[in-house]
This record gives sequence, structure tokens and C-alpha cells, in this order.
Amino acid sequence: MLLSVENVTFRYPKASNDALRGVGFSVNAGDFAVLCGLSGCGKSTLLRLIKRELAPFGDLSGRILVDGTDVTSIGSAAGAAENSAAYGAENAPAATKADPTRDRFSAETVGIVLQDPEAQIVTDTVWHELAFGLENLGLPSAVIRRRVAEMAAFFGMESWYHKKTYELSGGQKQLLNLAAVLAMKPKLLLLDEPTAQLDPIAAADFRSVVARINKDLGVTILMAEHRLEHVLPLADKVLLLDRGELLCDGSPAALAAYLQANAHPMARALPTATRVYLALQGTGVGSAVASEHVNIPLTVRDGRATLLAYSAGKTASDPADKPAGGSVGKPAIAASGVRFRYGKDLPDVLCETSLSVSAGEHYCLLGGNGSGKTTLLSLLAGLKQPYAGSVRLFGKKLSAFAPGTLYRENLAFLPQQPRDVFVEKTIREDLLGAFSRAYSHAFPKAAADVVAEGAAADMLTMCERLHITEILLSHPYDVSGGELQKAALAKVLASRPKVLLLDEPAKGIDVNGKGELAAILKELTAEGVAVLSVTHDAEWAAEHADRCGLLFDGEVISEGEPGEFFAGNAFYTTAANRMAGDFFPGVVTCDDLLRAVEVSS
Amino acid sequence: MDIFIRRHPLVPLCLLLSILLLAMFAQSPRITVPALAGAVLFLCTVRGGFTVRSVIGFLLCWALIAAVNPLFSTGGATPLVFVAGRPYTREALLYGVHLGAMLLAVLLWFRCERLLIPEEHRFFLFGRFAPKLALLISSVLRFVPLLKRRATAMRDAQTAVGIYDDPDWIHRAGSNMTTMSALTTWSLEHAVDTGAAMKARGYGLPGRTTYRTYRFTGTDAAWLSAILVLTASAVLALARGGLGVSFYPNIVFAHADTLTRIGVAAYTILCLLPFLSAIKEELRWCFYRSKM
Repeated sequence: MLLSVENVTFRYPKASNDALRGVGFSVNAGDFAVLCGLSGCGKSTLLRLIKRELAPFGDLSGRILVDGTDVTSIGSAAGAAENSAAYGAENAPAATKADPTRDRFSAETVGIVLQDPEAQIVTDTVWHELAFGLENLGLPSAVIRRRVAEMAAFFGMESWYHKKTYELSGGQKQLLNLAAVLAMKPKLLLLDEPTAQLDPIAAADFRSVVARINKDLGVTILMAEHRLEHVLPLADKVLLLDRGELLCDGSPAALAAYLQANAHPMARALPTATRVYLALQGTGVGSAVASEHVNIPLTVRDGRATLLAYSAGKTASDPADKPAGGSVGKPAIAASGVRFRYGKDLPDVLCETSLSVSAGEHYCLLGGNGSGKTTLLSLLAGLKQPYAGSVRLFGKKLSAFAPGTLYRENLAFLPQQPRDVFVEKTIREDLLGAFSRAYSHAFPKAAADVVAEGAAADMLTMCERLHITEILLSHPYDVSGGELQKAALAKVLASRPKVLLLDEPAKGIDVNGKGELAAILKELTAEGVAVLSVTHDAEWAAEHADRCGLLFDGEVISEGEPGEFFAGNAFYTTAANRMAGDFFPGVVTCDDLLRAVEVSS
Repeated sequence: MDIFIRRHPLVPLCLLLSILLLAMFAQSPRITVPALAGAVLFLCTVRGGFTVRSVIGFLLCWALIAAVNPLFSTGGATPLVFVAGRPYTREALLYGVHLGAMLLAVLLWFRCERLLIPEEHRFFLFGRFAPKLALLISSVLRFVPLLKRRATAMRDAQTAVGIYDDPDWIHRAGSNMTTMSALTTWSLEHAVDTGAAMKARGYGLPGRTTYRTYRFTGTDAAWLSAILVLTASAVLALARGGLGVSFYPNIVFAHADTLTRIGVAAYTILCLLPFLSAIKEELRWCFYRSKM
């Protein structure tokens, strides 16, 4: 047993609830364990407690053993006293500081890769980053060079070994973080949602490397993740955390059965193949799943086999009729023949690109890395100017808007990092600022106190609508990704825009958060707002868009309603479509497929 | 172009320090001319030494210093013309030419430094004497591009929220301050995360080592002693006053005895070392290619 967590309860200082309550489990050497649960369930807290250098302050009881050593380290009484003197009794760190032996043990034995690829890079060059941890351990130069060389070869990073770290793509940065940690030869590797900030291709690369580390090098892995579609097939063991409690500890199949049986919200995060299988079991064989759950399919391949067995002797049918596509009216925002490049001598990023979005429509623009999606979005938002072609908002050129009118009641832009929208100490202050600007613009003659009152009322209405009243007094950096995304949306909606531009709105948000965000966007389009979201996420686009387009090499290649758009694609499509395309043409989302299965049975 | 890549980084460092310090302190044409010649010859030989634009810039700079000096300094016995009733003298003009040449030589040698000491070696030199400083520099170099990118993203986000809408410049300045303060908050947050990542990888454990080590070989010792001997004879010439020159009212060079001549010759060799090494590399490659 490499990792053993025994009855761990943890509470942050001044918190009213335990962040973890009586959590106990163990991970065997060589296992690939996945720790899943919705945002805020305590996944990160648990990982950080295992990595003692990052252990948060608070009250801890129970033990965490790594390779037989207790890393929570209730050090000497003198050390504890010293710490409580330094930090004040209630803020005493869970792990005592001055304990070089234990720190060295932890640095050597436990490696951790966190969510944000940028923040974990320390030095300016790739080679130095790889060497950094080994230098800290005080290894002789010859050993460092050998390990660094080994890592560079294992990860195939020879071609970018001499690059500057800021030149790397997000996926490369995260691989570098992984390699730098792995160079220290940890026995246990902790991964805290490592692919949340990556695009799907980079995320798949990263996962395959992690799987290789586990299989070829035998490193034990504990990965926190809330999207199960791709990690479940890799896992030997799954742990489900819910509000600090460990609800399930077993095989992926056991987890699937548990989620299904208890109608847990995480059930929506299960792989499509699993969801379809469980649905078929529900309609057909009854609840045999819960008891046996031997061969629950987790991948598209297994899912196809399930469907094949199920549909034997049945004819392929069309799924239930789908709602008609969004109204195609006059374009609210349109780019026509725009060209853009970042420098005179650089190639065109966008070349004769045209795109239009109508009022009341949710348009999803898909595309790989470097296809120019984000650039196109900043052109549409008026943040960059094309050198040829034009962008028109309701038929009027963006450049023709008087200063200060474009972003009032016209256009709003939500950047990829929602925290960039916030500048104040609390979300409330930020929102109040935005709503007062909007209010005083709507009623230019209103007195200051009337504006303050009106703005506060408007803000509250918006917050209630987006369900964010509880986080208003928090600092923007202290809330979860989904909450921050909603708060940022509230801020940009203050100006009552008619066109809303979103950059990767669903990135890093859990299933609940995605559902809420989609519902809000649906309401907005129903009110006639034109929504354009730029995304990598085919599943998101298939479920929530009225129209989709694919940007490739600076041009919008194909456009259409999600049904026809994805049904026509063989690879760039959703898991449901790849799995069921042969049986149910036109099925693109998991819900479509579930419906189709129900209808034909 | 790694002329000294096989040498210990101390060798090019000593060479450069000798050349630069002597050129700056001697202030004598007997030193400036070889310094300038050595730098120009070396930069012409190696790839990436000069660009057309940089040559024009350097020459303009030189001409400007030379032409402007007589306007401020009216010393000198030989007036060439009178500008606004003040003499524009030959001696002052030549002093300007020399001053410009000296500044140019120093600038050019700094340009050579980039080519003579590869970045990783420079990092080692720092790391050797101040390992903490070296790591600090490395992390600053990593952080600056990141900060720039973040600043643009935040400015864009704030523009789109409309905080720059007010045409009033005081208001806009205030908005800039707001964005800056948000950027500071982000930096602090980022620093906390980076600090956590550093600690997680064992930063702060006692007995830190470094990746790069350079062995100091016999050849390095030979190079270093040669450089030191040459420098010493140039310094001797300087100390004995053999390099002295006075420009006003007439240009008078100090008497050049044998030791002075040796000193100047030694300095000339120092300045030509990079050029000669570069030529040697070129020839080595020529022969090597002919055998391929």
C-alpha cells in the first residue's frame, strides 16, 4: 500500500463546515486512482494535504501515510509552539515547517501537478525547468544531467529543450510541468485537474503520457478530475467525494452503478458509452447492473459493441424530432472578408473570413489551436482592427460607433480567463461599478443616490437570476471556476448587450456549472440576444448551439445546425455521434442518443 | 557563434573585462584604435555581428558626437570656422572624433559580449558567484513576458466592459490605474502559486546544487595566464604615463618608449584574440568540409 488515508477530517480556519469528513481510503503501488466530484467537494484540499509542502492551514485529524511515513507530521511540541506563536493559534499550519527530513522525503516521494500550467513554471528555459527540482535536492551535476536527459527523451521534448518557457503552448507547458516533477522520480504522482486549462487535443496528449507513466514506469497516480469521459477508462480505482465525504471507493463500474442508483449529479459526467449502457439496462434487463457491473463499457469502442448487440434485429430509426433551428433573421453581428495578421512580415491569421450571427441565435465557432478563433473574436469585439474587410454591428461598422457607445447596450465580451473582468476586492464592488455605469447611462439626469439605489436593485435582480448572491462578498480569486464564470457574465451583462461574445465559456467548469451556464445563455437568446461562443468543446457545441461553424486555417469551413454539422464529421464530433452514427444517423448528443434508444425499444 | 564555447566561461569574461576597462580608463588613441579595430574585425567575421541598420546607427552616433563637441568646447589652437562668434577648432573636433570612437568601441564590445559568452555560460557565471541571484534573474526573465500578455488580456477585458468609455482623459487615467492594480493582484496571486510549485519541488532544502558545471582545464589556465600577462603589460604602460595624450591647446602624445610600445602591442593582441579565434574556427570548418 503506497498511500493510505486514515479517517481524515479537515476544517479551514473560521469555516463553519468540515472541508473533509472522515475520509479513509488506500491506493496500492502502481494503481491509477481517480478522485472525482463536483467543484468544491474537497478534491484539491485532499491532494494538498497529501503533499505536505502545500498543506493548507486548518484543523486536521487522522493520518496520511505515504510509503509508510506519516506526512501530516505532528512534529515536536517545540515546533508546534513556535508555529502557533508565529501564525496565531487558530492559523497554525497543519504541517510543521522546520522538518527538513520530512520535507526532503515529501519532495522526493510525492510529485504534484496543479491546474494552471503557467503558474507552476519557475525558470525561463525548458532545460533549467527540468533541472530545477533536482538542483533543489542537491544531486550531483552528473546525476542531474542524466535524469534531465532521460526525461527529455521519454517525453520527446528534444526539439523544444532549448526553448524559452514563454514560447511554449499551453499543452507543452503542462507536459513540461509533468516532466519536471517526474525527473525527481516520485513514487506517488498527484494531479489536480491537470487538463482543465488545455484544449481537447493537448488534454488527450497529456492523458496518454500520464497513462504511459503509470504503465511503463509503474508510478502510482492519484488524479482529481470532474470530467470522467476520458479518465475513467484509464482508472483502476475511483473515489467519489461529495461535500467532503467519501461516497464511493471502487472500480469504475462500481462508481457508475453507484451514481446511477443514487441519481447523483456526477452521473451526467460519466462517459457516453456508460450512460447509454446504464439506460439500456434500466429499460431492459432491470437493475442487474448494480450487482454484477462486470463489463460496463467506458469507451466509444465498447459503447459501439453494446449498441450493436442491442440493435441486432432492430432497424435503425430516426431519433425523436428535434426542435427547429434558431430563427434566421437579420445578422446582429457580421464579419465580412476580414483579414488580420500580427505583424507586417507575419502570415495572415485570418484570410477573407466571413461570419454572421443573428439576433436570438447561439452560434458556436469550433476550431483547433491556432485556427484564429480567439483572434476573430477580438476583431468582432472591436479590440483589434482587421487590415481588410469589415465588422458590422446591426449593419453599422464598429469603427463608426462614437467613442463610448460600442460597449453600452450593444456589445459585450467575456474573455477566456473570467478573472480578467474583475478589478475590485469583492465581486459585489465590481458588479456595483458596472451596474452604476449602466444605470447612469440609461438615466443620465438621475441623482447620485438614485443611481446607487437603482444600480444595487438591478445588480440584485441579475445575481438572483444567475444564482450568485451567495458569493457576492467573496474575492474574485476565491470562488470556483463555474461561479466566477457566472459572476463575470453578470458583469458584462450589466450594459444590457444585444450581442454577447464568449471565449471558451465551458472550460474547466463541472457538469452542474455547464448546465446552469447553458440555461442562462438559452434565456438570453430567447430574449433576442445574439450569442457567439468560441470553443474547442464539441460536446458543448452539440448540446447548446443553434448553429455551429468550423474555423480552419483562417476560414469558416462548414456551417450548420449541430445535427447536420456533426453528423457530417467523422472525427471532429461528439462521442455520441462517433458511437451511434451508424445506427442512429443525426444523433449528436448523449441526450439524443438516450432518447433514440428509448424510442426504438 | 560560439568562439569560446569549449573554454571555461571565465576566459572570455576576463578578456572582455580587460579590453573594456582599459579602453574606458586609458582614454588614449593608442588604446582606442586597436579596441575599435578588434571589435569591428570580429563583428564583421561572425554571423549576426552587424546589420546594415546598426552600422548606420553607429556611424551617425559617432559623427554626431564628433561634430557637436567643438560647439561646447572652444579650447584648441587651430580654429577652422567661427560659429556664432565662437571658434570651432580642429583640436576640439579631433577630441570629439576620439571620444566618439571610444564610446563606439565600448558599445561594440558589449555587442561582442553577447556573441562571446553564450547565454547559458553567462548564467553559470552568475550562478557561481550568486546562485540566488541567478535563480531570481531566471524567474524574472520568465515572468516578464507573462506579465505583458496578462496586461494586454486585462486591458482588453476592461475595454470591453466599458471602463475606458469616458473620453475624459482624467477618467481614462483612473481606469488605467484600476487595471494596473488588478494586474498587481494577479501578480501576487501568481507568485503564491509559483511559490507553492517551487516548494513542492523541494526549493529551500539545504544543499542546493546546479545543473551546469565547467571544468577548468590546463588549456583554460594557459589562456587565462596569457590574457593576464598581456593585460599587465598594457596596465604597466598606462601606469608609467606612456599612453597619455593632451588635446588642448595642441595635440601632444606622450613619448613612446619600448615598454609603452610593448604595452600597446599587448593590448592590440588582446583585442584581436576574438577575431583570430573566429578566423581559426572558419578555417577549421573549411578544412573539415573539404574532408566531408
